[in-house]
Formats: sequence, C-alpha cells, structure tokens
Amino acid sequence: MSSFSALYKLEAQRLFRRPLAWLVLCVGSGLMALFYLLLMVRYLDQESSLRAAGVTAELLVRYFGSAALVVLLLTPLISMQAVANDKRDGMLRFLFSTPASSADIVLAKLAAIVSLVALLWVAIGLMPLTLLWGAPIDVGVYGTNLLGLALFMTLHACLGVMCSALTRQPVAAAVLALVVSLTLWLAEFAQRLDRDASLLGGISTLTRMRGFALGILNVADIVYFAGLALMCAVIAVWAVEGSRRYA
Amino acid sequence: MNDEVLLAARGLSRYYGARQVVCGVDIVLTRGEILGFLGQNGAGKSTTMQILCGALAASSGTVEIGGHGLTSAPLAAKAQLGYLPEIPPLYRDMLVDDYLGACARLQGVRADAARGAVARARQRCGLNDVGSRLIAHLSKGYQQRVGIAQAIVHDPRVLIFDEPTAGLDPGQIREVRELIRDLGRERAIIVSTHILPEVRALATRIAILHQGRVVHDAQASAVRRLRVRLRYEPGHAALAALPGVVAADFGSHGWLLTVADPEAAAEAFATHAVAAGWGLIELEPDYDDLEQRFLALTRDAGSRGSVSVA
Repeated sequence: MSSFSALYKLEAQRLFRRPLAWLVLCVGSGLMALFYLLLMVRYLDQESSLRAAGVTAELLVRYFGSAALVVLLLTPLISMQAVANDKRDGMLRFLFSTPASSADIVLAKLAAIVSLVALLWVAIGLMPLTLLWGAPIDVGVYGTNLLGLALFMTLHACLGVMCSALTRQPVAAAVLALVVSLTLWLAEFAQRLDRDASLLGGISTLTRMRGFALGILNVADIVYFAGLALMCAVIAVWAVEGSRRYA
Repeated sequence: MNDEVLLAARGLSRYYGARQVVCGVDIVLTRGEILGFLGQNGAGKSTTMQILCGALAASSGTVEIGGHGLTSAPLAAKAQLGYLPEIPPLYRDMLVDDYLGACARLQGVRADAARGAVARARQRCGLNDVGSRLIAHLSKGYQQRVGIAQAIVHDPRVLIFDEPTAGLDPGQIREVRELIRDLGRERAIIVSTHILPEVRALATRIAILHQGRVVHDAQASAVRRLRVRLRYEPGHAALAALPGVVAADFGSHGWLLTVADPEAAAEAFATHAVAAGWGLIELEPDYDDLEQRFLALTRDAGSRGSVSVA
C-alpha cells in the first residue's frame, strides 16, 4: 500500500469519526433543505408571475447559489484541523519520520476532506431532483450547476487545507480560510463599485460561478477553479515541507 | 555482535536561525548495538534524533539507514526506521488496533500482513487487553506502550527511542527495558534518557552530547569497582591481597575495590569476608563512574551557551 493511500485511509477514518464533521454535514444538509423549502414556497406563492422564468431559473439556480454560500461558510470548519492540529500535537514530525512525503501528507488530508464534502455535494445534488415529480427542469443547467458546485467545493477544501498548513491554531486557520473565501466571493462587488477593476471581477468566485448557474460551460471558469485549487495545494505542500526544513 | 552498519550519520549540523544547536555530530551504529544517548536539557539530543529519523532536515551532514541515504532514498531509509518521540505520537481519537494498523500500512506493511504485524507489536508491548479501546481512554503508561508499539510494528532494523520509559511505573519500566534489550539483539537502537541507571541497564555504548557536540562516545564499560562496608576493618593490605582485587581505596562510604571481574570478585569477597568474620554490612557495584564522567563532561553547561555563528 502506498504512503498516500495508507495516509488517506487513516485521515478519512479519523475525519469520519469526528462529531464535528457529521455536525457540519447535518447543518449543511439542514440549511439546504430549509432554503429549498423557502424557494419552493416562494415559487408556489408567486407561480403566476414566476412561471415565465421557469422553475429551473427561479428555483434550481437560486438553490445552487445558496449552496455555494453554505459551502463557503462550512468548509473551513471541516478543514481547519487538517494540518494545524498535527503541527500543534507534534504528529507532523512523526509523519515526517514515516516514508510519506510532504505531498503525500497534504494530498491525503485533502482527499479525506474532499470525500467528506462530496457527501454534502451528493445531498445537495439529490434534493432538487424531487422537482422531477412535478415540474420539468433543464437537465443541462442542473448538470453545470452540479459541476460548478463540485469545483467550488474542491477549491474551498484546498483553500482550507492551505490555511491549516500555514498555522498551528485550527481556529486561526478557519478564520483565515473564511476571510480569503469571502474576499474571493465579494471581489465582484469591488468591480461593481469601480468599473475599471475588471481583474477583481475575474478572480471572484461569484463571477466564475455565474456561468455554471446559467448553464454555460466555460473552459476558462473550469481552469480558474482547477488552477486556484492546485495553487492552494502546492502552497500547502510547500508550507508542510517548510516545517520539516526550517521549523 | 555483528559489524553490519545499520545507521551512519556523519557531520550532522543544525542551525535555528543563527544559533547552531547540533555541531558536526557523527554516529555509527552496527547491528546489536544499543546506544545510550545522554545529555543535559537543551544539549541537542532531541534535535539530533529528529534529524536521524528524517523528521527534521539537517543544515549539513548525511544520514544513512541500512545503506540508504535519508535524502537520496528517503522512502527506503525510513521504512527501516522506528521512532518514538519524547511525546508519543498518538491519534487519541482512534482505537489502539486501528491506530497500529494504520501505522503499519503507513510504514509499508502490506494490507494482508498488517493484522499479523499489529498482533505481534501488541503482544510484545503488553497491549493485548486494550486493542479495542480508545487511545484517549488509556493511562499514560499504556499510551507510552502504544507509542512503542507503533515504532516496532513494521519490524524496523533501526529504532530511535526518546525517553521510552517516561511516565511508566517501575514494573512497566522493567518490562520496557527487557523489550528494548530483546529488540537490540538484532537491531541498532538509540535510547535517549536522563536516567543514568537506565543507560547502565540497557546500553552497550554510551554517547554524551554537550552543547550540540558529542563529547564522549565509547563502549559502556562494565562496572569495575565494588563498594564495601565492613564492621571490623581488616586493613588495606588484607583487602588488596584478595584474589581479583586490583586496588583498594578507603573513602567516606567505606572501601572501594577496583576489580578485574566484578561478578567473580564479589562472590569471592563475600565468601572470604564471612569466613574471616569481617562483619560484611554492604557489598554493591559502584555505579558512580558514569555519573562522574557525565558531570565532568557537562560541568560548564550554561557558561558557553549554544555555539553561535552570528
């Protein structure tokens, strides 16, 4: 068994044993169920005026928009302990003494967190399928929204692990991850205030999610999420390796 | 003792900023050797051991484990190494068996062999009764045993133990020492400790680290002196003339006999003292030699501090 798979199994085992992880999953699913219900009630109340836009635009797209915000707020709670705890408890030093490389350590922790948030993704993705009983939904838009949410979740998992690798304090890691996530999310509003600041709009996750929400599959958006996630993972590996070399 | 070199560290140095905490340390260990690693707090023992097991990068120097370079072939080198840090590395939210199984797989033990490896490590460390318990619920002594078990679960050829008996009760200390002695027959082991009797009990070689440098590295000499107290003094000439006695000195705590073979001399002396009616009150090996050597070599602690290059 390779170091990566052994470490992944270990990390996943530990992560899925933590009450916090299940709590986050329950809260995330509960919040999404609540949003779904509210959107449904709103649609049924104003069906005559919203019918023109359709159930996909008025319900499905808004639902996935809320999902991104829930993920943004909850992922730091799952990722905050990934590396910071091991740094604080001396477990990182122990892992360095095993055949696992710094990349193995970071990627295994990341994979475990992605496995957990994937459960939330599945729960979020299944909920709107209940619409199929009563109304036609645009399967293409549903698919791009699912893909966009998966990329968004992966990016935030990577971002969380990166922040966790930069500090010994899990709470500091969570706060840092939240600040960076919100900054990336809200960068679009800075562009709205200053039309010349198009770069800010370009780096905003909110801007990049819009294409997926509307059913547009833009390669630039996919590259953006994948590239940013990769960059976060590389920084995390670099930070962990730095602990071995310079700490 | 076999001459196969299992651990070879040459010219190890480590800086923290401008402060040099390890200065040109050389350690070579062959199979069957147990090295007692001594030094005062802050001497650089833990840093040196972390470098030896790859947990910390050296500023300069090389480490080879079982012939594999720690930097050139880290995976092969680390697979032959077991390490118990000062604070046992434990995931307290895991069951003992799950944790040891994960450690075995992490160290490269095949999945189908991991169960057997865990059972052997558990057996050797006296953990059979707690395999299905949460590590957080174990006593400190048991947690230390789990720490030792994770170090030996993959049957490594080189073992590095930092304070292996810390937190254990006297009975457990004796068991752990027995275990280390047993493991040391076929492996190379480094044991760092502040407890001099532990070094005497375990080590075949002793290295003393002081301010980042190895100031003493030699085979652990057997006790060559006996401490004796008698009710009726026979006089220097009578004691010096006894078979096996090289010299006799009178000190504040009685007679100190330098002997060629301590065990044979002790037996002969006891027989002779009883027969001659000297009133034997006390007869024991004199262990002060190592303590005096350690104190002499580390006496200037604090006067120089760490070597600085700034």
